[in-house]
Amino acid sequence: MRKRIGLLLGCLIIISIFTSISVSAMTAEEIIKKRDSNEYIKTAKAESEMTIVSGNRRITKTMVSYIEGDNGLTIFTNPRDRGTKFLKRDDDLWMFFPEAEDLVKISGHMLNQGMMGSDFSYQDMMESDKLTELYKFELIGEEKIEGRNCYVLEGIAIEGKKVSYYRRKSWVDKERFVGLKEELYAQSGRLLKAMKVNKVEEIEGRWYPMESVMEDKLRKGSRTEFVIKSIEFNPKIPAGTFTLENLK
Amino acid sequence: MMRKISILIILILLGAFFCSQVLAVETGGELKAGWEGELQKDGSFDSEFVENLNLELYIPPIGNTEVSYAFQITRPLQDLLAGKKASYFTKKLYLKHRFDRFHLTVGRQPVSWSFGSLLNPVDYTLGADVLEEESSSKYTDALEVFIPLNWNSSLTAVASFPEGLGTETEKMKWGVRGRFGIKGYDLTLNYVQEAEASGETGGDLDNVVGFIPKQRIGFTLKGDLKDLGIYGSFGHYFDQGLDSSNSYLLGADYSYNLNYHTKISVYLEYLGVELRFLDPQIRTIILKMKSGDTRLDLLIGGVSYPIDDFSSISLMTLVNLDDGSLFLLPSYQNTLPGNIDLTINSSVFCGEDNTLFAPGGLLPRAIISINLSYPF
Repeated sequence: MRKRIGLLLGCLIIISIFTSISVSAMTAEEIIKKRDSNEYIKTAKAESEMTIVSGNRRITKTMVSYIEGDNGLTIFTNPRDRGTKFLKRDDDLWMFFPEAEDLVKISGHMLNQGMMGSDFSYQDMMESDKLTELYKFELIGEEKIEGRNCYVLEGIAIEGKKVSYYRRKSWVDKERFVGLKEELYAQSGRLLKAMKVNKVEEIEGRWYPMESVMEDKLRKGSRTEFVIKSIEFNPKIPAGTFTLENLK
Repeated sequence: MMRKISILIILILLGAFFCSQVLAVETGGELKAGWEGELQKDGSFDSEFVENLNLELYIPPIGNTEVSYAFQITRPLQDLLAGKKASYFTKKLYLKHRFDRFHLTVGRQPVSWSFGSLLNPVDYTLGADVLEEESSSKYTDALEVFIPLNWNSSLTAVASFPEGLGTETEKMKWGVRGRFGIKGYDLTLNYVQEAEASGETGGDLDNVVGFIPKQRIGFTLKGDLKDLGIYGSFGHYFDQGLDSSNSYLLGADYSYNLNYHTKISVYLEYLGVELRFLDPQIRTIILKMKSGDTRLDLLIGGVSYPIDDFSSISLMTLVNLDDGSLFLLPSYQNTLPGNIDLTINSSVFCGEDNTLFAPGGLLPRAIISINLSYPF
């Protein structure tokens, strides 16, 4: 009997050792893939609010967005920008000016600029990219963020890929596999922006960041707060949503 | 006919408004108040206060039909205090129906064929309209048919009635425009036939040009050359009994990263306009062109710099390459606490006597305007 118990205990210990080894032995690629499975959007419809803060001044913009891979449509709904629409199809960016009801193709160099004066670029806001396709990640440690255990990963842009930031350091929740913090660096090593996720929600079986703050590290006191009011994953987006006809 | 359409649209609007519980009609707009001053060449200075109200009703679409109504009242307070009738201008009052294969828009509507340049010599309504800047000439009583071909290509046909609706087709202005997306480039081709009764364009150039040939063909292109945004246009203007003329526009824009977060945006545009159809006296007296010269060559350059998240400065320069005179437009914009926009615009005219932008005659030495606006 004692021998059997000993054998069982031994097996349990071996299993637990193997289990813990397999968890801690997750590769950076596996972690980012799991994060992508939560955060990468195939198609979605979202209503959100963006608040640009500088010192004690703040301005809020509200919008409705549709995303389908590299395509995005954003319609602003706040009084200042009401009716302004942006359509992004791959690398093409179009803008609809509600006053003159004009449709104009925006130059490609604008894609990396802050959308409507925010700290998020048009690219950040209007498309969903798989991080695994843009960066080569390396696991560099583990840390706690607001009481949650996180993997710390460092990603360097894959050569030839168009990215806004050369290097990024990501804190990924070990249990939920969602990014809780991100530091974005220039090639020179200078820290440009830092993003912190303040609220994560489980929606349709996936963990998703619902409230985040992007801080511009080069401008003291400048940040953009981004709150997703509602999000629907894989909705039926009507055909013709990402067309100039729909923009007009 | 147009009056009947207007009445019909107003009735629909009123119906929609009183059914607001169901349709949730919303209103929005902008209240603007400002001061404008003009410094003349002789040193005299004139100034005035201006305020205006822009209002738009946002009516949810009923099926595939949309109704749009927007208007502007200029100097409402001053006129009210002076016991005058307020100056009301309907910017939009139209019905749009999205059929399966095309969209039909009937009523007062903006007709704008911008393609991303600062000046557009091949627009439906001619005039040096800065993108996004308001120009009442763009709002016209018209009928527009928009036929999509694919996601970025379409055909548009417009018929407008600059002199009021009538049965005489020669008083109708019309145009067609094809827009085609080819390998990342936006190409447009258009044809415009001005109304017969008057060659006036209704645009800002009327005071200078007086009239232009009644027919024109325009071609535009916009795209990217690596990190450089490039665009251009070609226009051919012709009419019976008048010498035909061309216009050429070539421009580029670029964003320069000053220090990762500060991006300076710059653009440079060349516009050459042949004015062979104009009376030589108009060319020499009003446009200050040299005798025998038929082409106006303008270079437009601009730069904008974001001071912070809420304010920016910009400078635009328009140079007449033929006589060296220039026109400077410095501007400052700041979104103040309380969601109020402060805009300070200035125009400075420089040039020797008898040059296009020389102060004196039609032009003052400088103009300054300070405006506060509140979007709601």
